[in-house]
Amino acid sequence: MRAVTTREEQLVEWMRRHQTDVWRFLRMLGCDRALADDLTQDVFLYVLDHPVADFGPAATAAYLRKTARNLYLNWLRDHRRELPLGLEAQSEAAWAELTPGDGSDQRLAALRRCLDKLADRQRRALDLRYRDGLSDAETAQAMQATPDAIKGLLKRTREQLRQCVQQQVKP
Amino acid sequence: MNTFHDNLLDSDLDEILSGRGAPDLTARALQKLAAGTQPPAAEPARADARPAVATPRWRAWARAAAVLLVLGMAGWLLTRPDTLPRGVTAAEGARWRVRADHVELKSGWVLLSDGAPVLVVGDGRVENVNGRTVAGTGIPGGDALDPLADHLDLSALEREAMKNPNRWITAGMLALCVLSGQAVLNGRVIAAEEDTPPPRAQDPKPEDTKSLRALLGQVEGIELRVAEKGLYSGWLTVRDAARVRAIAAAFATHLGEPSATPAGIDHTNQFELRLKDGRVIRASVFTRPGRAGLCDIRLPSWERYHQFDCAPDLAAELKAELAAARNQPRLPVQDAKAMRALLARAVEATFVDSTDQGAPLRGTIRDAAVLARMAGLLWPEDMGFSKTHLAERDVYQLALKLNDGSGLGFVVGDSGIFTLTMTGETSVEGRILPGTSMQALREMFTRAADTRGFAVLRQWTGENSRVTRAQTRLVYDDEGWTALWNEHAGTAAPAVNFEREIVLAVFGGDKLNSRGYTVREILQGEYRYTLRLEEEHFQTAGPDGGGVRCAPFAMFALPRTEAAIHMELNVQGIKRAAPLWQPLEAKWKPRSDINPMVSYTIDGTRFGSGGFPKTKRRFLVARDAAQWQELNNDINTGQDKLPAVDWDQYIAVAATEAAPANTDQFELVLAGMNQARVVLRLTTPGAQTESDSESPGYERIWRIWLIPKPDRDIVIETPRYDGTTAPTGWLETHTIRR
Repeated sequence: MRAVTTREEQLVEWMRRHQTDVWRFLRMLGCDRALADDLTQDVFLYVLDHPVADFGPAATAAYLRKTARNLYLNWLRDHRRELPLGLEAQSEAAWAELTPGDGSDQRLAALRRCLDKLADRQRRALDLRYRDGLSDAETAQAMQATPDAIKGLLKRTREQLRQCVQQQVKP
Repeated sequence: MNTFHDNLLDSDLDEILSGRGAPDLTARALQKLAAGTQPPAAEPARADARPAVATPRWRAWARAAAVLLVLGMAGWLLTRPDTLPRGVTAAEGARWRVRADHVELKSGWVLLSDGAPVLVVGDGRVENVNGRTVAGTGIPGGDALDPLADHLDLSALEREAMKNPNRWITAGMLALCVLSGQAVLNGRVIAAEEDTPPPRAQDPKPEDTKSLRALLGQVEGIELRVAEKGLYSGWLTVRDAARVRAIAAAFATHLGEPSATPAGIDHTNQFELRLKDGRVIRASVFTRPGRAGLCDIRLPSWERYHQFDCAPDLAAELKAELAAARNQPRLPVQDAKAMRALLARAVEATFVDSTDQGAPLRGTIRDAAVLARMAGLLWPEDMGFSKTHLAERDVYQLALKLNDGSGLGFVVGDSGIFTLTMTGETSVEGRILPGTSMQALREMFTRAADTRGFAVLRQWTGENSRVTRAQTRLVYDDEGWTALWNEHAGTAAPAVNFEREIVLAVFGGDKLNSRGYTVREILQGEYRYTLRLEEEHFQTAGPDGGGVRCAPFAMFALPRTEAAIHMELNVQGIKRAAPLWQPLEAKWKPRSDINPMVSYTIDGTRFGSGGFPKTKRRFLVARDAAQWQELNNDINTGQDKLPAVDWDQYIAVAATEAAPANTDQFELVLAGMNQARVVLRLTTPGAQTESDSESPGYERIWRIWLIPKPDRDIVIETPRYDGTTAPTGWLETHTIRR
C-alpha cells in the first residue's frame, strides 16, 4: 500500500472513506444540512492536525464521530443552544444500532428496500413531506385527511421503517 | 424511539426522497486547508475560538450559478440555498423555502421589488414585479400593519396604501398589495393606483344630511333585490335612465334626519345606488308601526348602516320596482337540500376545467347519475362562505342546462370561491366549495373531458429522416425547433407557436420497412401524459426478401403543459395480439408544484399468501355481494366475515399468482386514463416463466382492491420480463368491461 505522503492526499483519502458517515452522523445529532457541511469539513481539518494511530477503520470512524460530536457541542455552546443530555452515550448507541459495520450506505440501501414495501398512501405521505417539503397541514390537505390523521400515519410509517431497517441491518 | 433514532430516519428519508444525497466536501476542505484557516478545537471543553466561518461552498455555488444563469436570474449568485434572493425582503417571522425557480412562502409577508423571482403561496403565484409589492399569507390585521410596515421599511405613503383594505387582492392563501408599479398575479396584471392618487370625494358624515341628499341626487345606476321568507331574489337592474333619475331624486328629496330613536333593522329590500365615481351607496327602505318611514343608509367608508327618518312618499315611489324585484326568480340558496334538488334537474353540464393552465379540459356531461352526483358536489353541506372579493384565477366554468330550459352558471376560483349566475344576473357570491368538492369535480371533469384538451395538434411523419440515430427529443422554443428540423430535413421548419405548444419528436434510426409513427392513444395520469405510439410497418417482396432501408420519424405538436410527457411504443410483433407497450424516454419533467391532473383511488384492502395450489396469474371481479362471496371463496382468503362494500361506488378486483415467497410487492397502480378507458398496471415480482411458478421459492399470493365503479372499460396491464429484473414492457392482459 502506498504511503500517504502529503496533507492534501491524506485529507482526500480520509474524506473519501469517511465523510459521508460523518456527515450523516452530524445530521443524526440534529444538524441541518448547512451546519453538517461546515462541521464535517472541520472534523477532517481538525483530525489532520491531530492525527491518531490507525487501529483500523472502525476505530477511525469512532474517533471521527467523537470529534464531530465535540465540534457540535462547541457550536451549541457558542450559539447558546441547549445541550442535549447523554449526547455521547445515546448518539453512539443509536448509530451503532442502525448502522452496520460497512457504514451508513448499507443503512440507506436497507431503507430503500423498506420504502418499497410501504402501501401507496404511506409512500405518498412521505413523498409530500420529504420530497416536496410540505408541512403536516399541507400534506393533510393534499391527501384530504386531517392533520392528526397524517401525523398518526407518518408516525406509524416511521416506526415501521425503523423496525424494517433494523431487521435488515442486524448482523 | 429516541431523538437520535428520529433524526437518523428523518435525515435518511430526506436524502432518499428529496434526491439530495450526502455532499462531497473534499474540494471545499482542500480550499480551506490551502487558505491556512485553523480548524476549531474539538475538545469537550469550551472552544478557545469559535468554529471558523464557513467558507463559500464553491461547488454548490457553481452549480447554482449555472442553473440561475440558464434561468436568466444571475442576481441570485453567491447565495446560500435558504437565503432570500435579491428583490425579496422578508418581514420578521416569515418562513420560506427557496426552490430552483421560485420562492415558496410558507407564512408571513415579504416585500417584492424589481427583479424579484417568482413567489408562490399555495396556489397563488406572483411574478414580473415591477415596482414594490407586499405579498403574504393573508391580509395583515390592524395591529400587525404598523410593525409589518416597520420591518419592511415602507415609506409613509406605502404604509397608508397597505392600510387601505381596498388595495389588497387575494388569491387563495396569497394576499397581495401592489404599492407601486405592477405585478402579475396568477397571470393577471395588477397595477398599483397612482402614487399620488387624485383626491377622492370624501363621504359625508351621517349628520351631514344636506351633503348626503346632494350625493343621493347624483346616483346614476340602481340595482335592487327583495327577500321573501328569507330568500333574496336575483338583483334587478333599473335600466330606464328616467326611472333612475326619478328614484335618485326621491331618495334625495324624502330622506330626513338621522333617527333619534333607531328602530330594528329590516333589510327585506336592498338597494345599491351607484355614483359616477364608482362609489356604491347601500340603502333599505321600510316602515315600523308608528313611524312614517325609515331608511337605512350606508356609505362605503361608514362602518355600519345609519338609520334616517324619511317620508312615506319614498316607499310609494319605489313600489313598482319593488314589485318587479319580487317577481325576479329566486334561488333557494339558504336551503341546501332545495338547491341540490334544483341542480339535480340539470340535463346537461358543459365545462371548462383550467386547473392545468397549459391544457384546459372541456366537455359535456349528460349522464344522469353523474349529473346527480355533481349537484351534491356543487352544493355540499360543508360549503364555506367568504365576504372577501377575490381576484383569483378561475379554474372551473360550468354551464348547467335544467330540464325546463333555464340555465345556471358556475364560475369557480382556484380557492373554491364561486359565483352562481341565473338568467345572466349574479345570484350568489362568496360561497366556497370545499377542497373535497373541488377534487371530486376535477375527477369528474377528467373522466368526461374531450381529450382534444390534450391531443396531437399537428404531426409530421414519414420514412426518410436525415436523423439516423434512434432517439426522442422535446422542443419547446423556436431555436430548438429550427435546429431540429434542419437536422431532420435541411429545410425551413414549419410554423409552431411555442407560447402555446411544444413539439415531441421520435426518430426510429436506421431500420427497414417503416413509414413512421402515429399516436394510438393518449393517457392522462396524475402528473403526466403518456403518448402511446404505433409504428407503421409495410411489407416488401422480392427475390431476396427486399426490405427497404428507412429512417422513420414522427414529430407531434402538442399543447404546452407543465406535466411530464412519457412515450410508449407498441412492440407487439404478433398480429391481432394485445399490445405490448415499451416505455421510451420520458420528457418534460413536471414542476414540483403541479396540481394532480387526475385522481383515481385504488384501495388495496386485502393481501395474503400461501395455500395451494400455486396458480398462474388470474383476475377476478365482483360487482355485488354475491360475486363478492364467490370471489373470496375462489381465492380462499380465509375471511369468514367479509367487509361491506358500497357497490354503487366500487367494484372489487382480485389478482392471484405465484410469486417469490414473502414478497409484498404486489400493487395495482394507475397508468393513466382517457375517455375510453382506464389503464391500470399490476406491479408484481411474480413468476417470469412457467418453471419459476413451480419452483420451491414461489408461493401463491393474492390481493383484492376496491376501485371506482367503472364508467368505461378498465384494462389491466402486467409486466413483461425478458430475462431482466425490470419490466421491458407492459402487456394488456385483462379487460373489465364497464
